[in-house]
Amino acid sequence: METLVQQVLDGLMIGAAYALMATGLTIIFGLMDVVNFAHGEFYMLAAFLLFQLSAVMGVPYFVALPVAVLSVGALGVVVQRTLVRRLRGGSRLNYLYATSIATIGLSIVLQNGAQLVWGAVPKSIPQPFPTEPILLAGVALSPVRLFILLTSIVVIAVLGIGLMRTLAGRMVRATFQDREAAALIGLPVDRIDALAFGGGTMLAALAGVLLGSAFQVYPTMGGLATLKAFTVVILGGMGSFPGAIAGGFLLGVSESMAAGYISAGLKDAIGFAVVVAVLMIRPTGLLPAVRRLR
Amino acid sequence: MTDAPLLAVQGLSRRFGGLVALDDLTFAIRQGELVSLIGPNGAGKTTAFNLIAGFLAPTSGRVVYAGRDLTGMAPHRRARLGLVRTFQQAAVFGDQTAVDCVVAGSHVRAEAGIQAGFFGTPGARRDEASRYEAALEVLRLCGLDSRATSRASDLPYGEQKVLGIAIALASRPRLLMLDEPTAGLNAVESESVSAILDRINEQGVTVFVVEHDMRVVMGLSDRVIVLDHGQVIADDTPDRVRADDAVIRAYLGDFDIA
Amino acid sequence: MSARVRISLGLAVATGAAAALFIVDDAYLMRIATLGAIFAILALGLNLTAGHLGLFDFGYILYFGIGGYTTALLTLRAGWSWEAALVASVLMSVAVGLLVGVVVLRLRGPYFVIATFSFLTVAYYVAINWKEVTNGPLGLIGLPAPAFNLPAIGRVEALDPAGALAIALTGLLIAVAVVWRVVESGAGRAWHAIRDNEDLAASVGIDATAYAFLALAVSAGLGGLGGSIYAGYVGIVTPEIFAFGHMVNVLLMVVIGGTGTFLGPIVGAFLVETVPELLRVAESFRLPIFGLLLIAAILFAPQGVVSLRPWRALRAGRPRVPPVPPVEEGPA
Repeated sequence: METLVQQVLDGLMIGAAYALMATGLTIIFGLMDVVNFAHGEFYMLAAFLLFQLSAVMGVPYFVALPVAVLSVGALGVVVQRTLVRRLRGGSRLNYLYATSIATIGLSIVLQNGAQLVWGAVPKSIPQPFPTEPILLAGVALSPVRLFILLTSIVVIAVLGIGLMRTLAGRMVRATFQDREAAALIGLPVDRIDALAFGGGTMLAALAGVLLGSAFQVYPTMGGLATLKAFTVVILGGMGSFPGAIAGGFLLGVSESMAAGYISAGLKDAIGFAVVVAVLMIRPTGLLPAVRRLR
Repeated sequence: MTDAPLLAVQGLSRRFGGLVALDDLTFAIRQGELVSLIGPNGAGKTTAFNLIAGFLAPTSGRVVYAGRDLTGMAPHRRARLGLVRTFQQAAVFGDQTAVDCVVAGSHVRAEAGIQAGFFGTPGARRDEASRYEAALEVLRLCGLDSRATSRASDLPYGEQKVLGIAIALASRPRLLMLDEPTAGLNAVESESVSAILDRINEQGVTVFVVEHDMRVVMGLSDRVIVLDHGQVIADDTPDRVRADDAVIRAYLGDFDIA
Repeated sequence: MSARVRISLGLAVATGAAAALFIVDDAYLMRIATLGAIFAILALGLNLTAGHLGLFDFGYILYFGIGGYTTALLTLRAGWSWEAALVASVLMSVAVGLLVGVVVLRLRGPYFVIATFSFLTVAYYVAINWKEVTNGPLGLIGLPAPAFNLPAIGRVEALDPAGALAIALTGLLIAVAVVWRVVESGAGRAWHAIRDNEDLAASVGIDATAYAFLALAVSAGLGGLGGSIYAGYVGIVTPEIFAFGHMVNVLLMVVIGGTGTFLGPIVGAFLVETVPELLRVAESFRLPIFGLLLIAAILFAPQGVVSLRPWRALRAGRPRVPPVPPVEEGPA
């Protein structure tokens, strides 16, 4: 029983990070129709920046963490302005290929660039949390994991409220639903794109600094993360925020269960198997977006 | 043969969520007729087209074409039976030349199969050549022969719309359904589209057209069906429809009937 | 007609290059060319769906792996000859392709991308974990190298660099012939119609589902062919045959070369195989530079390198060709 609770909690922690990643991917995909293959590299880069700031330069953890996330978000804006934006024009299919190649190229650059700067050996981020677990109703909770889970939930909640209640949020949602109509009524869709790309990469970055604090940081960590985020997005239903969040937690918990009860080696396969199953039964995902995608 | 209608729409309804787009639509079109479907915006004209051509499934009711119940039949199979529709927006195969678009439109006219094409048999080559000839002929009919080698997406909007009609014609339809063929066109272009419609109707093709331009409707049609709020409110000759009280009421404030 | 001209031009260039390779007889160059030829088969296959049909199959390498594993299992476990295993590999890949198609062909756009990719990833993990059959991460080792006696040429062995290159080029030639004929058969025109406007294609009677299955089947078959030749050449098949890196490479070949063109995927394959080799002088900066080159390529040649000006000028001199990029082959 205790191990079960432990596994569910572990799953929720990882799932929270997946949900962050997937929400970021959904924003970028939903607004710009870009399948961002460099998403995991932004996640990796943020973790390395946190490592650099806190472990190498001695910046306090709670200062370094937002700096790392914001810097990667700024990089996201730059990428949108200088690269993604220029690929519009031509057919929809060409745009899909062009953005895929561009983000794949970017991911190669970032991944190998990180390897040049920080080397291939996994790094650990020193973090300020006590190592003794907190005992709560017989369940041992490691403080760092609790921090990850709570931070993710708070960020997701703030993001949700922001999207629903603020003007910027409403503008993003309007563009999300119908780009042409949004442009017609005078919304600055181009600037909204930049904001959204930055925001989306910041969510990946946040997942990166959080998981990087609990696990290790290495240049290739983004590859699998991108794939996982894709899985979550398709599980939840492409273009759906509630789906991305639910899908994230679902994948996290099912992976953790699979690792505990089936085999640790199968952990990474489980998500993709679930995706294939979901696609056969419900091709639009669990909580599909209302928007028609083609 | 001429007694049974070519197209019979029977009790066709379609709901989108709570919205009733079409409500118990019933009408018939006979072989050789040129019939217009008119009605204010949102009356359900395009929905009716989508249901008849199989691009949407009806909530209830059925479409009978040439004596066959088409319920559940995919659009491409309906096209094979000669029931072909065009689209409201200019729809072409953008990346291809005009003549290639029209040849693609004659897909169901290909006599030689894929296997013959694979091995490049003489039959396949003859077939290919004759489809090209036919495509050029269709372009000529539509006044686009000078544009044969232009890329479809480079053509001006009006010519793209005409090319859309040419693509449909290449499949040699028995019933051609056109969704607002003159929308977005200038007066000269509209004129030439109605001339094309008249010509193909004379060649024996049954034409069913959704149209906004009343001059086109009144000048061309054998019969006009008026749709409002998803229901048929009139189905008669142009002259009588023009005088119909219900029609005038439906259109009042929308635009005047010339 | 123009397709035929382009094909013969391509063949002439290829023959010249191949002849030069055999004359120079440098093992390193031959190895690059062999891999280039094998991956050109895959690029041609992927281009059928991604370029001609307009569906971005991001799990295409699945068929490469299926071909590789089928060949490895049949030669190692059942004692089949490589040639027989190759035929079986192609058929097996086609079968898998049709099965995958049942699920994925209901999807479009980015859904299709991620769904096909999910299949690839499942295959990767199955290969790792189904140890009884695949021997897990260690893979299947020691495949007999393809070797045969040919009447005029003598003995051709994959162990010999020239022999391997000859086998790979033969495979590529078969692939070119198949792709050329299928695209010219009328299926190509239907694919292009579906790609450019699926609803319009349906409205004139084109059965999009049937043609999509055809594209998927042929493309899977070519993947199996490439996988089988690859397995015979390297002599080992591990789960890495399903690796993301292979998928990315083949995609790059098609897009950098030019989607929906004849020569594009082949040119792209040799470019993508060669450029990283040329960049070896840059040592550890090799891959970052490669990444930047990709970004530059997509910014400056979004239609692929075969659409660049020198090619365009070459084409302009030819009769009966559309004035704008040759996204599809002209009338036969």
